[in-house]
Parts: sequence; C-alpha cells; structure tokens
Amino acid sequence: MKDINGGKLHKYVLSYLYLAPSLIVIIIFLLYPLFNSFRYSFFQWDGVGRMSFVAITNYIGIFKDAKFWISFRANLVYILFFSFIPTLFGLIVSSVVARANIRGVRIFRTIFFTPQVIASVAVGTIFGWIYAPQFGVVNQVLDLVGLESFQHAWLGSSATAPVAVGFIGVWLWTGFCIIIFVAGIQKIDEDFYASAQLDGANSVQQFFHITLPALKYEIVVVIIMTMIRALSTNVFGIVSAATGGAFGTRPISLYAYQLAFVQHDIGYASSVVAVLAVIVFVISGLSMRIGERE
Amino acid sequence: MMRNLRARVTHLFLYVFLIVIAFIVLLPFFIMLLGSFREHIDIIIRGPLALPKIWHIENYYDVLFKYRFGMFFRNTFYITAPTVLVSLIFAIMAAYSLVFLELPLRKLMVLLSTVLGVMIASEFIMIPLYRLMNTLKLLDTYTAAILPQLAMSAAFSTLILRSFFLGLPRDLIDAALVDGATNWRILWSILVPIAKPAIITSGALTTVWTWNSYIIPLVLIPTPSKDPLAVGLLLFQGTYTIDIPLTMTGTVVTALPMLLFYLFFQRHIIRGLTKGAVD
Repeated sequence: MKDINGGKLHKYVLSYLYLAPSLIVIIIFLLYPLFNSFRYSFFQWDGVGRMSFVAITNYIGIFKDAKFWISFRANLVYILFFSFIPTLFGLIVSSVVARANIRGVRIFRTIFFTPQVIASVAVGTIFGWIYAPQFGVVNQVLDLVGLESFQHAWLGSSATAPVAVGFIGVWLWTGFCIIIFVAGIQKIDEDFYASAQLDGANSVQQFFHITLPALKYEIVVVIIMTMIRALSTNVFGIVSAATGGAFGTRPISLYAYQLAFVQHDIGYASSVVAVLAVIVFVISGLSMRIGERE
Repeated sequence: MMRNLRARVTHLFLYVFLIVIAFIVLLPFFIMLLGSFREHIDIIIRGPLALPKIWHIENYYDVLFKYRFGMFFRNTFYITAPTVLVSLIFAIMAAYSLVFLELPLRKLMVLLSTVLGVMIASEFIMIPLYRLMNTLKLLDTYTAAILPQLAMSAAFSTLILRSFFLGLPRDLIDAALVDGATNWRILWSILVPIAKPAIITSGALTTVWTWNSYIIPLVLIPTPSKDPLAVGLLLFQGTYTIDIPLTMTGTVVTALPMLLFYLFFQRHIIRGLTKGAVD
C-alpha cells in the first residue's frame, strides 16, 4: 500500500466497494433476468421439463398470432389516449392559462398531479365501477340527463372497451401535461409575445409561431414518457383491475403474463416480452438522444 | 376601466375553467370515498351518485379485519420500508463513487448502475425473476419482492443523486481530504446533509412506486396472506366483485396512504416526476 501502484489499486478497490452493493443487486435482479428473458425466447419450454432450442420459431409464431395483434392494437389505442390526446389537451389548456398570472397555481398543480400517486390497480378498480353496466356512474348520469338510450356496458364489448380504458389515460395524464407545459411557457420571454402583438399577430398565430416552437423539448419528453407508460407498467394494472383483459383491452404485457403464468408457455411468453422490451428501449433511446441534444 | 373589467372577466373565466378540470381530476376520488361509506343495497336502490344516508364506517372495520386488508397493509409496509431505506443507502454510496472517486470504466458503470436500471420495467423480467427466486428458495417471501424493487429504486435514486453531486464543487471534497477526513466521513457528514433535498425526492418517489407496485409481488408472492395491498385489492375483487362499497373501501385503504404521503411531500414528488422541469 505504500508505493504508488499499491495506492492506486487501493483507491480502485475502494471505489468499487462503494459502488458494489448497488451494482450487484442491479446485475443480479435486473440485468441478468433481462438477459434471460431474451435467452428463453429462443426455446420452447413449459417451465418444468427440458428446454428445447427452437431458434426464431417463437418470433415467427408472434407474426401469425391473432391474439398478439389484438393486444398490439390495444396498446396503439392506449398510446393515442395516454399520450397524444393528453399532450394535445395539455397544450391547449396551458397556452390559455399559463400567461394569465393566476393566483393559487400551487393548489391546481397539487390537484393535477394526484392521479400520479395512485396505484394503477386502484385506478382500474374505481373506473371499473364508473363504467359498470348496472349501477355504474356513467350510465346513471346518462339516465339523469335523459340519455338512457346511450347507456351501455362500456367495458363489456370490443367496440367500446379499449376506448373506455383509453379515457382513463386521458384522466390520468392531462393534468401532468398541463403542468409541464405551463412551466415551459412561463420560461418564454414575454417580449416575444409583446412584439408579436405589435405586429398584429392574433393569439392563434402567437401559439403556432412562439409557444409551440419554444415547447418543442417539453412536448417530445412528455410524449415519449407517456408512450412508455401506455406500453408498459401503467396499463398492466389498470386493465387487470378494470376488465381483466377482456374485449380487446389486454395489452401486450398482460398477454405475456397470462402466457407465462397461466398457460406455462415460458418460451413463447418470453419472445412476446422481448418484442415489447425492444419497442420500449427504442423509444427510450430516442428520448435520450433528444435529451442530450438540449 | 373598461379594460380592467375585461381583464377581470377573462380571469374569472380562466378560474372557472381550471376549477372544472380540477373537479374532473378529483371526481373519481370523491366517487371512491363516498362509495366506501355506503351499503350495496343502497347503491342499487338510490343509484351510485347519491350521498350516503347512513355513513357505514363499519365497512372499514370489515375490510381491514374480516377481509384481511389490515394484513395486506402490513405486508405493503414490510416490503416498502426496507426497499426504500436500503436502496437510499446503496444509491448514496454508488453516486459518491460515480462522481467523486477514481473509478476505472466510469462511463460503463454509470450506464449499468443508473440508465439501464431505470429502463427495465417489471414485465420485462417477471418470467426469469420467478425462476431465479425459485432457485434461490426465496419464492413467496417478502425478500423476493424486495430485491428487484430495491434494485430498481437504487438505480433511480443513483440517477437523481449523481446529477445532484455533479452540481457540487469539487473543492468541497478536496479540502476535507486535505484535512485528513476519510471518504466515509466526507460522504455521511458533509455530503449527505447537503444532498438532503435530492435524497428526500428519491426516497419519496421510490416509496410511492414500491407501495403501488403490482407485477413483482403478483408474480413472486403467490400466497395471498403475504401479498401487499395492490395484489390484495385484485384478489378481493375477484372474490367479492359484487359488493361495490366494500371494493371501494379496499381501494381507499390502498390509495389513501399515498394520497396523504403526497400531500406531505408534494414538492419533492412533483420535482422528481417532472425531472426538475417544474420548480
């Protein structure tokens, strides 16, 4: 330890000792399982017997699997409702309210964020009742306003169920988008708007020429973040609680879960997981690229 | 004068607009809360939107003790508390190493211990985790749910703490080193007090995520008596799906602790969720 090399080695060991606890649990309980998800996807396996290598057969199977594509379609609907629509609503609302110097902003901010701290199964359970065919909230409201003819088993048919689940996403994410965009707009120099007004630009023109370009970064971040939620964790719990995955609402993640833990088709389930993981990683990779550029 | 009036009317209109949105956001919570105090037969007779005629507080007693939500609550606590505490300690040490110590392969280590960790969602690893916990003979224990959650939380907290440490002046450390302080002392008695806001943000968010986590305990703890609230709520729904008030009471028991927690730590939680874009 006395000579220079020994000191250096000592320092390196020390650095890794500090990093080790975190690094070890991440490698053993996240990275190694992720690697295994990809590895299993090349095998046929029921989880008990022998694993037999089948190369890319599972992936070819996905292409021909109608159930997978129904789930894929559900996820696309969720991307529309969890990501694009809240972003659009957020832009509209924030551009109207952000520059109006409103008092009590903190209270609205607090309220708009509350859906974020609720377990997704709890969200799904509450909306399961709101949408219920008998004694459900939506149908009761329709009854009260004299629109009984529009009453419907909202979660009980493929025509309405995916969209009904989608609306949960609008509820969940619009407030979040509003707050992010309000913060972004408040960073814009007020002089831009003042001089645009002098040039005779109306508020719609101001929105398209000043607000929208200035919010480019926030918009991309919000869309990507909500897209990832619409593809993974968020919807798994919500759908499990609200419909159990029936009537075209089952997302890819829940399909993979049922393949693995109900049908014990471990290899095929892993290939479905792998496809989902790759989609999410590509989207996350894009977001980091954009994040670095700023 | 005229201008002033117009500005006031616009202001009023914006307030009403925001209040309507706030009301829509809160509505499902009101529905949940009011529903939890009613009786199922009352919902059938008077509809889901009526106020409770008699406030059935005993729903809470039934759900907590007869339908085992008290136990689910305890299980959630046993999983969340160690996950958050241990992951914070791990993350504080890891972030210190990544920023201030001489670490060969630093870039790779940053990638492994932060970015990759936060990108891996539970469903990407649920199948191999089941096999791994089976092999380790940990299946059906709190530890099985804690370990992966701990890893995800450590990765997230390291990410937050690393960017906080990067913003600190190096002289702070160097001066203390010259004074003969050990790294351990520097970290815990100089840096940790300074990093308190970042530590609270990490801890608050990982608490919410661990409390609400569903897939990991669903897969790794098959025995209901050891499951946390999120899994317990769905088990209850599967068995007693008919009784709306009891289901809503169970939902309140699951959601209310985090709603209260959020009211206490809202600034930190919002800052963490928006990655500092707000405040």
